[in-house]
Amino acid sequence: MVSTKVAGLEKELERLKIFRIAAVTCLAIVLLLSVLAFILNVTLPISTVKKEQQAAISGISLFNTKLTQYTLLTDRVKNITDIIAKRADYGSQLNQIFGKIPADSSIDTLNIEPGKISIIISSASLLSINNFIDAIVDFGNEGKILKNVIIQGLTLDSESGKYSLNIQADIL
Amino acid sequence: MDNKNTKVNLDFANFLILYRHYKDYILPLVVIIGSILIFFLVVIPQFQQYLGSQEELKVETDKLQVLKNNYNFLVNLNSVKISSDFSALSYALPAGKDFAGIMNAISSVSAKTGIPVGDFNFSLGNLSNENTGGFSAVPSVKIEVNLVGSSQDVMKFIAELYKTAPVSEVTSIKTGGNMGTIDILFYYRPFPPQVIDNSVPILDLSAQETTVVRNVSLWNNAVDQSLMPVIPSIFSGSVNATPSSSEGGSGPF
Repeated sequence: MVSTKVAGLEKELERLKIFRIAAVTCLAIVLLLSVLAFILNVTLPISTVKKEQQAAISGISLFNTKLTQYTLLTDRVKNITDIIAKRADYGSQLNQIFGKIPADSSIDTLNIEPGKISIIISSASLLSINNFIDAIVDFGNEGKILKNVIIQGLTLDSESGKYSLNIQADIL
Repeated sequence: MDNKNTKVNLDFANFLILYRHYKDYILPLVVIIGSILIFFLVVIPQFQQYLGSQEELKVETDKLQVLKNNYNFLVNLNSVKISSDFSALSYALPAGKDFAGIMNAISSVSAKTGIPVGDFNFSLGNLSNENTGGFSAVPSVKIEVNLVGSSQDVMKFIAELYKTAPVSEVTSIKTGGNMGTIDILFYYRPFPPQVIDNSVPILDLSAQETTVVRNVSLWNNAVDQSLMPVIPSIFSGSVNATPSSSEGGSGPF
């Protein structure tokens, strides 16, 4: 009976000991983690970085005029680049068309509105007119310079003996 | 009533017995519960704060890097080149309606190509996209110019005009006989308001933009407009002007 009681008491003491060790361990772990978190938070160099930022901003402010000039320069460049890239430049197209005009023919009228071109050429030779029509039709078929080519008329001026060809097209 | 009091006394007695039996456990239990509470209420928020601070540090470090890059960029920027490029570009795309520049351009192209210029007619608008055919964001001055020459001559004139400041766009060409009429838009753009944001990285010009700067600097009239005087005798024109209230002819600084 007494030995059973003693055994129970020892077991109880053992349980209490484990319980106390667990409590101390928990306390130690929490303490350690708290200190660690505190040290980590304190050692982050945010304030140093902000000081360096201020120093850099002060340095930049010395070049305010230069910065303003450069900003305006980039604004001009961007706008000019945009205009040059998008502006209508009929030079290359017209040079190719002019290149197909036979030597004995001349341009009487040339009208270009945005996206539209109208040409009247005249020549004493119907063959030359025909060659020019072929060239223009080829351009229309290729779709690189012109499209929707329409021959408005082919007339003969009996006084001058010249044929006049009127062509309209969409210019690309 | 007596029964009730007896029961209460019994419960209290039981409580005392339990207290005496387990009193050694109370302190460790309080410590464990306290530790758990501290862990959840203090330690975890502290670590969360640390992670948040790390994010903030990363943002601030990136910002610092941008500032340092901007500073180094500005230190290494060649002031003389920037000034000369800016001058050429400002003449190529003036801040306001630059009539002298327009007339200089036309007279310069006329002189260079040998194509005489006849009548001309200005058509001015405000800063909005009144002059269609160009870019709505960039206002322009429209001018109709009569030229004496063949279609090829007119094309030659236009090709030279496109290499002359101020920047322009020919929107309409009419030629017939030995005369031609072209509609030209001369672009201008007021300087934008200067809002300097240090946190925005200053970027170098792209290769395309550098090429544009180089080409524009080589344009006619681009370097020194004073060398190209207006030749009034060439012109015999009229001006239909609608003054613009927001014309940006003043300097940027």
